Parts: sequence; structure tokens; C-alpha cells
Amino acid sequence: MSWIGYGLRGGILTTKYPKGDDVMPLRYRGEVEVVRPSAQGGEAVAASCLSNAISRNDGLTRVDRLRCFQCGECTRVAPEVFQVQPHFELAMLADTPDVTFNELKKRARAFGRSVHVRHVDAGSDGSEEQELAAIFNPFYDANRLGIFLTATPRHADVLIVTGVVTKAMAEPLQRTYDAMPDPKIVIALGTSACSGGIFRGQPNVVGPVNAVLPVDVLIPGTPPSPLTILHGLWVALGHILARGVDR
Amino acid sequence: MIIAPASLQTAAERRIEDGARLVWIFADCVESQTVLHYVVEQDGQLLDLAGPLYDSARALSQRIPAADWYERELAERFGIKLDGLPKHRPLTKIVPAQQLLDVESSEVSTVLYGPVRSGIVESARWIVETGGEDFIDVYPSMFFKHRGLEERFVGLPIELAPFVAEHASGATASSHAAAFARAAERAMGIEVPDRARATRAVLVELERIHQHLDSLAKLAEDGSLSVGSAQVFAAKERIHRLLCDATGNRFARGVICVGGTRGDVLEPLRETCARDLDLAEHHARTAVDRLIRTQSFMDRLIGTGRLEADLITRYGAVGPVARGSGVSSDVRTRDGFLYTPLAAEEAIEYNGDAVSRALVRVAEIQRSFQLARNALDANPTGPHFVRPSITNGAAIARVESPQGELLYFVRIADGVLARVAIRSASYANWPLFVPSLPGNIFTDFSFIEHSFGAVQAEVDR
Amino acid sequence: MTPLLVALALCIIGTFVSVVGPGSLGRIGGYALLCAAGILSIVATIDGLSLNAQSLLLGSPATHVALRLDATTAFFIGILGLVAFVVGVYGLGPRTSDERRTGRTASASACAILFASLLACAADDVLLFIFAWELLALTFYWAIAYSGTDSYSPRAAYITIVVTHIAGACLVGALLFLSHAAGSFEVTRVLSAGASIGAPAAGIVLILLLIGFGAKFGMLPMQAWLPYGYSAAPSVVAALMAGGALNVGFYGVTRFIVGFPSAPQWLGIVAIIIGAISAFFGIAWASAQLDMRKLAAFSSIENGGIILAAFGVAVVGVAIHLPLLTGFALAAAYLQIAAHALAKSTLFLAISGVADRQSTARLDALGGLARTMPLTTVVILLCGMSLAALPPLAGFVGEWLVLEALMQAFRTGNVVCEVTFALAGATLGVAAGIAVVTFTKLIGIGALGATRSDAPETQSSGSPLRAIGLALGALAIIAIGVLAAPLLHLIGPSIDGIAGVSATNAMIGTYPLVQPTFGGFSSISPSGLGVVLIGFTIFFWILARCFGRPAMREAAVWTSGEPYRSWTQYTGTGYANPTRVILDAAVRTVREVRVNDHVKTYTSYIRPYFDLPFYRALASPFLAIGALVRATQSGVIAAYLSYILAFTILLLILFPSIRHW
Repeated sequence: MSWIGYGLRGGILTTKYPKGDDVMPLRYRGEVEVVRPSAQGGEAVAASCLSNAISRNDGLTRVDRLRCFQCGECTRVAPEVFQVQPHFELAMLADTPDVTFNELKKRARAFGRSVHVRHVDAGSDGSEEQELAAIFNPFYDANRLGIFLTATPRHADVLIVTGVVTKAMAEPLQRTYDAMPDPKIVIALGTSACSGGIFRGQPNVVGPVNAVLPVDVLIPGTPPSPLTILHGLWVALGHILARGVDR
Repeated sequence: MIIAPASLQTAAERRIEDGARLVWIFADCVESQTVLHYVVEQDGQLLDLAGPLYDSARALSQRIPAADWYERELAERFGIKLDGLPKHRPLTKIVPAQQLLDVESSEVSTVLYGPVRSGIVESARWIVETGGEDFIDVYPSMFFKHRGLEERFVGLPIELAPFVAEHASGATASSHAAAFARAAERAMGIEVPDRARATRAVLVELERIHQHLDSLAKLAEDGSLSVGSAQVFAAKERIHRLLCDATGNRFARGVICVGGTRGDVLEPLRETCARDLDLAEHHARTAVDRLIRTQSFMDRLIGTGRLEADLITRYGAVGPVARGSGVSSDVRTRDGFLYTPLAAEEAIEYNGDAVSRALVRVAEIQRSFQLARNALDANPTGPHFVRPSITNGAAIARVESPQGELLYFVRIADGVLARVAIRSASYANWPLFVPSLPGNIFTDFSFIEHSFGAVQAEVDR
Repeated sequence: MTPLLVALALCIIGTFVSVVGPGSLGRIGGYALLCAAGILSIVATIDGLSLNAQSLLLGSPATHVALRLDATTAFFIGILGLVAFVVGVYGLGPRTSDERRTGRTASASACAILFASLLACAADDVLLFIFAWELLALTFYWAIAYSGTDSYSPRAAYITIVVTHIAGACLVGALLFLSHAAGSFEVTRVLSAGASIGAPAAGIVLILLLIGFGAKFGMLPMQAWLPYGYSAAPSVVAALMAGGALNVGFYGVTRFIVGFPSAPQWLGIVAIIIGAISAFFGIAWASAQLDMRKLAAFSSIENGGIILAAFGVAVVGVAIHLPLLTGFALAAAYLQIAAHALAKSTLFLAISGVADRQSTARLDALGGLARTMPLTTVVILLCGMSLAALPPLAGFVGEWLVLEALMQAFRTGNVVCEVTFALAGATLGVAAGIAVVTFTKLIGIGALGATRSDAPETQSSGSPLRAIGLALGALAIIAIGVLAAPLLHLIGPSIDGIAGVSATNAMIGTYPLVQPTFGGFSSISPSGLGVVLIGFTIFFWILARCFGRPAMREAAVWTSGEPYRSWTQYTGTGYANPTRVILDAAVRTVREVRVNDHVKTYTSYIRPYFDLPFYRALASPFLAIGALVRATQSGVIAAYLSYILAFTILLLILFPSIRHW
């Protein structure tokens, strides 16, 4: 049974991203953009946002990208103000002073050309795990970028946390972080991990990942697509700049 | 729904003795009065026996093992007093591992596996007591990921609620949204137009395909069949790209709403599938066929995690786990089908081991492609959405999710959601995991886990 | 001869002092005299190896009760002396918890055991030898039954005395038959009579001798008493028993079996087969043991088997008139004897220290010794490595030589020999592999990791004398390994005396290499290995220390996100489980999970092949006869008087016919 022959006949499916370009389909709900920030009609729209991502300050409407879970409801309620864009490069650096592009680059230098990733599920809905696992499938092949998965935190360089942190998972998450040697990078994957998403403030939940650990890179998305995750990892390793913070 | 008198448990028991299957036991609080619901399925029809609870109720789990987890969760999480509930280790409360150990012996190695486990997996804790390689005793601790989903629904407007349902299990978002929508629609007495029903059917069937491919690919990965697992994951990726192309989200989230679908999704689906479905099906079927014809891989699954049909019926398991042991359990052949003109046949195998469950999934992948095509070809005309007029009411609806029968209970009061309860297929199947372990060795653990294909998020909610 | 006599005298005085002296002074005196006796024995060895054989007549020439110190005796006395010295130094430390009350009985029995062993090795007279052997059995019984605090020692003592007496009976029968044929009790004459008694009788005599001596070192099927006996005796005395007295059996084999004139080839084959089987079963059973002492005892059975196989090759060499092979096999056996003696006795001493401190010798309750008892951990590590035949230690050189001896099959020119040698070599190889697993379990579960039991440690002070004793033992293990070539040179006369050629010169090639007597076959340099392995280890350790350490942070042990608990560690049963499963035919494990009132208990135990059911089957006819005979001892005086009358009449009838003979 020639699995090798079958595999070779399948051809090369792998994208060139992030060392080349790639696009998501036109309809992809990657990001909600405010096309007319100064337009009126805020209350109904804000009420339609389950994760309270829409805010209005100084007469300008803003969408908190870390809270938005791309449902598109606001684009239906107020299509002249909000539009969905198929952007997938969504990763952002954390808003703390010691997390900068240069700092991440310095840490990544210690990792050499191979980065080992440890994943912890703090309370996700199951889809972020499948998308994270998808970066190792033939279409994205994270191994070609030197990104590998490891089972033990002792060998890990990068900690990826998915899901909002539930009360029961706060301590195990902390222990995993403590078990990793320095230098390390923490990535919050998914809107729930970045900001708590729709669970923000719920009684059984401690909060987003940065309520428990010092997060370096935040990758919003519900769930973030594999290309978004590759972009986020590339930002975390200091290879490219993240997009400017727009909160 | 029948409101029965105080002998609620007797009524439920009598029906179960007559051959009904216990589906669910849950509690609701209506105007500060606790109401217990016992849901049974008799002759393919769901019956909800509900009644008020005054101070305590009789526990059924001694004679009906299927009631076990439901009653324990009621007792622990809702504080409901159930008489005759046998003493158990806590189910929903997380206790230190030390308290769960049972075997007195210095010779037994205790392996702590979890909650942070190796690989990209969801968090659950397993404590395994072993003499070396065998399983002497296994204690699962779940509910590490309890986010309080059912509480999140309370007070929400109906149109936003399906988003929360999709968060119950993101990977099977369409099934959850569809089940919630059907329950809400039934509660409000709405009939959804055919076009929307066909769309929902297509989305749920495509979801079944990508989840079954995920389960088979993980089995291949466990068996270190790298090329096989890569090819099956690639087949799964094609389905996701198809969905993303047509609906804007790789898991088709944000499409199903109460009253129909958000926008006319059937047309983009038809367009995308006309272009890509054949190729996706071809790749999926070739990869999966090769996989099941690889003897060295199938050898790992033969006899692994065997479950007898008798055990399945007593515990009320559903989905491929039940169908793999010869027990018929497909909501689509009963009243749970989303789009009635599609005929569905159940895929059943009889050996009860991981091979049978894998073969059930393989057959279902094939049939789902066919069912999706049938729905797309049927292309019913008409609107895709009917605006619901919010009325109070309560109803239960069920959908065949990739893991099995998924039920939602929705009660609307004062125009907003008053109670939503979820019974996922993974919840119904998990109690059978530990009984399937004896006789296997350590390395079989992940094979059995992936052959169950359960999603932790929908168990812990 | 004088040092030997003084050593014997010191042993007797030591026993006396221990029994009579007040409290712990008696114990200290006894061990001090044991040390002295040990040193003197070593002096006697140097004497005996360099000079010609000396005899000393005790009593009148007519009875010919004598001691003889020749090269063979010298080697065994040397081993006994060295072990006694190490044990004595260790024993001078505080009393161990498994010795009874003041520990006097332990030191007394130790001195007595040394006395009996020395006497047996030096006896020039069959009667003296038998006397010494019986004395040894009695001292063993004394040590096991009376000096320890273990509750099952009466049973262990019973099994010991029964098996040792069966062995003794075989020996008495064989030796007296030979003496009758020789017409004298002198050992050399008795041995030469072996040539004249004809093949069938010689065969029976040799088998009886093999059984008799084999019981001492745990040859199957006489091994049942070893684990019980060695665990029940206090570990300090067990060290002397396992490392010292055990060798009397080997002395017997060397003197009476290998030295038997024209020993037949089939005997060598039988010895090799039994040796290989003993080795395999011994270590298979050892791998499943949870008690450190039992593990060490079963390991002794394994080593006994290896040495017996080497002796078997020596006998084959005698039979096919290839003295170089005999010499080589004897050298292999001697080195393995030396290695085992030192390693086993030091191991028992270390175990005694551990049991003292942690109040248990069960592996499943130990762990974390590396921090609390670092010297003991290192010593256990070295003993374990030696018993598992890892370079550059003594056990490695011994095992290598034995396997090389078995590889000389092609020189025998005989299909039966070749097949036997090959199969035995393979079996010993498997046994060596299982030994590595076993000792890794001992060290890994027992000494490394974190402590498994919550019981507090007893505050027993680390005594410098104990540390010195352990260090001496460990150094001896390393020395015998690294300095194997000079050692062979030293004990050469002992080997050459029996082989008849100067085999050791052929073995020590370009000094300090060691090679089989047949040049050009293969060779190793034990000292080279010592330099490379030990030296480089030290070198790299220094290098690592000098070039700084990277920044380190202490963190908790990782257990899947749960807080760390000591019970998440591996247990001995878990570690040895794969070995048990694979060796299921030999190590028949019974695993039980019993549920009482919701409490589950899991136990697993081995059903040894040759334990009680086998012996019961063998013993039942004897017990039946004994019951019958008991019936005659009715206690009625009339019956006894009638027995006397009947016997007198019988004698009167038979006396004339006896006179005719």
C-alpha cells in the first residue's frame, strides 16, 4: 500500500504565507471595519453586540478588535457604518510597555530556527483547537517555518492559550507557565482568550488570559483561521510588525 | 409535553421499563418553583414528563444507569435533593486528585493525565491507576471548562442567542445553532421556510463530514500513520474552505438564526459546491478508503474499546458510539430531521470496537455528501427567513450532531430567554468511556478517546 | 599457616567475647575481632599463594586431622577475609535496627560463620570438612533464627536448616564413600580414589557433591532457602553470609569437582545447563521483587548460576584434556566469585543502612535517598552496576570472562559441548540484560526521585565507621575491576595449581590487558576502561563546573498541571511490569484486585516454580516414612526394651558373617 506514492501524487498544497502572499475568500468575515466612525445611531447597534465591542467615545464609533467575534450583526443593523472585511492579519501586541517588536525579536533569537509550541486549553469552545491543529496540515504546514508542537512545557518556547480562563483552569494554566523555561512568549488565541468574548464578567470565569498570565501577543478571531494563526506566530517571533493598536 | 403528577419518577420508570429510552433529566426554575423534566423517547417520539419538585425526588440511577450523570449534576450543581442517589465521587466539582484515589496498594502506579494534556486537546483530567500497563481503575474529572453557558443565555434577546449556542461547541456550531433555533421556533410556534431548512440541512451535513474526517485523522495520527492523517486533515481543510467561501466562516458560524438563516446562504452554497464539492468528496473518499484498507492501522483498532450493545442501551449512548455497537440511534430517521424530503439510512456496525465506530463514520461521510447534494439540488424556492413574533413558550428540539443526538430546551418568558438547557451527545456518551477501558492497555487510551470523538466543550458547557 | 591459625583463634574468641561481654561492648568486641581475623586471613592468603602448600597436623598422625593451606584454599580464604574485614568495619558502627536488642548475637554468629567457613576451606581432612560444613549450617541457623528481629525468621531458619541438611547428607554420603574407596580421610587421597571407583559410582558421587555444594550458593533446585534466609538474618550478618560463606560452596566445587580426577564431560554439561537455568530464573525472580533484601538474595542465585556455568566449562576442559580451557574457565569463575562477594556484601551493608534510616526495605516505600544518604546511594549504585555487569567494575570483568569461556565452544570439537555452550551463553546474556533492568529498578525506585512514604525518618546518625565500611567495599569493587590483570597475576598459582598449566600467564597478554588463554581471540583492558570511564567522567564533571552553569530556576515538578504529589512517581511494580509480562512463563505473576466495602486492594505476587509445591511433592514420601517411624517411638519403655533385645539378637546372628568379610 503505497502511502508515499499517494502522498506524492497529491502534489504540493502548501501556501507560501507568511513568506509569500495569500488571501482569504471574499465573503470571509475576518474583521469588522467602521467605515463611517462619526455617524449617529449608536445605541441599537451597541445593544446588538453580545461582547460589548462597540463603543462610542468623543463622537467616534469604535470596534474593539479584541472583543469582536465577527458575528456580523452590527453590519446588518447599521450597514452604512460597519462593514466586514476579509482581512486575516489580525494579531496584536499586548498593551504593556515591555512588549515591543524588538523585545519579541530578542526572545525569539534565543529559540534559534525552531520554535516549540505548547498549547493549553483554558476553556475554549473546541474550534480554536481544530484551527490550531490545522496549521500543521498540508495546506499550511507550520513545520516548514520551524514551528513544532511539543508535549511538555519544559521544552516549550511559546505558550498558546485558547479560550477564556475558567475558574478551574486558572491554576493549571499558571503551573504550565511556571514550568516553562525563560525566555518564553505567551500568545492568547481566539477572541475569548484575548478579551473574554461573550463570557466577559460571567461568574464561572476568571477572565481573559491576561488576567492570569502576562500575554505578549493577542490573536483575535472566533475562531482565528490558520492563516491568522500563522500571522500571529510570525508576529510573536519578531519577524513582522503587528498592525497598530486600534482600540 | 405532559405535566404529570407528583409520581413523576414512577411515570418515567414505567415508560422505560416498557422499552422507552431515557434521554435527559434536567431542571428548570419557573417563578421560583423548581420543575424537573424527564425526557424519554418512546417509539421514536420524544416525551417530556415534567413536574414540580417540592423538596426531594427519588433518584432513578440505581436501576437506570442512563440517569446517573444527569442526576449527579442536578444534585451537585442545582442543589436538588435526590433520595437514593448512591454515593459517588463528585462529578461537576473539581476536587484534588488525592481524594479520588481508590485502590489501596503501594504497588499501583498512579498516573495523572490532565488537565493540561499533551498535544492540541481540550482540558480534562484523568487519573489512571495501573499495575504497569493495564487499567485497574480510571477516574475522569470533567467540567474544568465549565464557563456557565446555560446561564449566559438567560435574559438574552432571541436574535442574539444562536451566537451563544454556537459558543457551546464551536466545532459543531451549525448543529448547536440549528438545535437551538428549532427549539425556539417550536416554542414560539413558527414554521421555518423550506429554503432555510434545506440550508440548515446542508450545513449540518457538511459539518458532519468535517468532524468525522477530524476524528479519523486523529485516529490515524495516534497510529503514527503520518501520510494518512495529513491527507485526511487536508480533506477536512477543503470542506472548511468550501464553507468559508460560501458563508464567510470556516465553521459556518453566524449563519443559522431563529426564523431561518441570516441572508440567503443557499445560493452561495450551490455556487461554491458546484465548483468544489466534487473535488472535496473525491479527496475525502480516497483518503478515508486508503485508511481503512491499511491493515497495520486497522489492527490497532480491532477489539479496542469494546462496548456491548447491552451497555449502550442501559447507559443511553447515542451517535456513532451507539451505532458502532449495533444500536440504532439516528435522530434523522425519527423526528429530528431538518429537511424532510431527504431520506436517511442509518449506518450501523455490530462489533462495538473502535473499528466499528470508524466504519460508521466512514459510511456517514459518504451519505452526508449525498444528502448535502440532494438538498442543494432540491433548491426550494421561497424566502430564507421569516421574522419571528416573540411569544412565550417552551419546547425541546433535537438534531443529529456529528457526535450523536443533541437536544436543546428553550423557554421564553417575557419576550426574552428564561431558560436554555443543553444535552449534548458527548455528555450522553462519556459515561461509557471508563467501562470501555478494561482489557486494553495504555497506548489504546487515545485510540478509544478519538473513536468516541467527544467534544469536551459541549460536555462542560 | 600461623596467620590462619591466629585468625581461627580470633574468631572463636570473638564469638566468646560477643556472647559473654557486656551489652554493646560485646558486639563491638566481636566485630573488632572479626576485622582482625579478616586482616589475618588476607595475610594468610598472600602467604599461601606465594609459598608451597603447607599443612598443619592437629592431633596425632594416626587420625590425620589436619589443616592445609595451598593456593586454592588461599584464594578462598582471601575472599572470606576481605569480606569479613569490610563487614567488621561496618559493624563497628551503631547497632542496626534489625539486630536483636544489643546486637551481640549478630556479631557472635558472624564470628562463628567466619570460623566455620575458614575451617571448611582449610580442612585437609574429610571429617574435618564435614564437621566445618555442619558447623556452618548451625551458625546459619543461629544467625537466622536468633539474631534478627524479623517475625518470620523461625520459618526461614527452618527452611534453611532443612535444605542445608539435605545438602549435608548428600555430601556426607559422597565423601564417606570416597574415603572408604581411598582407605583414608585425607583429602588428596580421597580425591585420587575417584579415579578408581569406576564410572557409574563416580557419576553418582559427583552428582551428590554437586547437589551438596550447590545448595550453598543457591543452585536450582536447592535455592528455596536463600531468599528467606538472607532476608531474615540481620543485614550485616547477611552480608557475611551472602558474600563470604556462600563461597564455601564454590570452594567445594573447585576442590572436589573440578579437581576430581578424570571428571566426565557430561558433568560439565550438566553443570553448565543447571548454571544457566539458575542464572535465568534467579534474575527473573529478582526483577519482580519489591523488597531490597529479597532482590539481592535472588541476585545471588543468578551469580551462583553464572559461576557454576564457568565451573562447568572448567570440568569440560578437564574431560577433553584442554588444560588451557580449564585454567581460563577457573580464572573466570574466580573473578566472578570475587566480584560477587564484594558487591553482594557491600549491597547488603548498604541496604542495612537504608532499612535503618527509613524503617523499611521495601522499594515502594523508599525513594529520595540521593539527598538524605548520598554515600549510600553511590555505593548502592556501584554495587548494582557491578552486579549488572557494567564496566569498569568487577562484575563486568567477571561476566566478560565467563562469556568468553563459553565462546570457546569450537575448541571442544564436540557437538554436544558446542550446543550447550552456545545456549548457555545466550541464556547468560539474557540474564545479564534482565539484571540491568533489575538493578535499575533498585537504584531508580529505591534511591532516586522523591520519598514515597510519609513516615518520618528515624534519626539514626550516620556513623563514620559505617561510611568507611561502605567506602572500602565500593573501592574493592572498582579495584577488582580496574586492576583485574594484576589480580589475576596474584591468584595465578591458585588457578594454575588445578589446571596444571600456567594459564594466567597466557591470560595476561601485553600487561595490563586481559585475554582468554588462547591468544589472539579477544582482549580487554580493564585498567584502560577504568581510566577512560572514570577519568573522563571526572574530567567532564570538572569541565562543566568550571565553565559555569547557565541561569537556572527551580520549578515544581510538572504533572499535567496538577500539584505534584509523591505518589505520582513510578512504582517498582510498574517499572518491572514489562519484564514480568515478557517473562511470564518463568515469573508467573498473580494479580488480584479485591474489593472489600468499596476499598479496592491490588496485590501481585509471584508463584515460584521450585518453591513449596515442588518441595511438598518431594517431601511427602519422606514425611510419610517419618510418620511411620514416629509410630515406633511410642514412649512405652517396653517397646524400647524389645527394640534393644531384637537388635542384640540380630547382631549376634550377623556378627559371624560380618567377621568373614
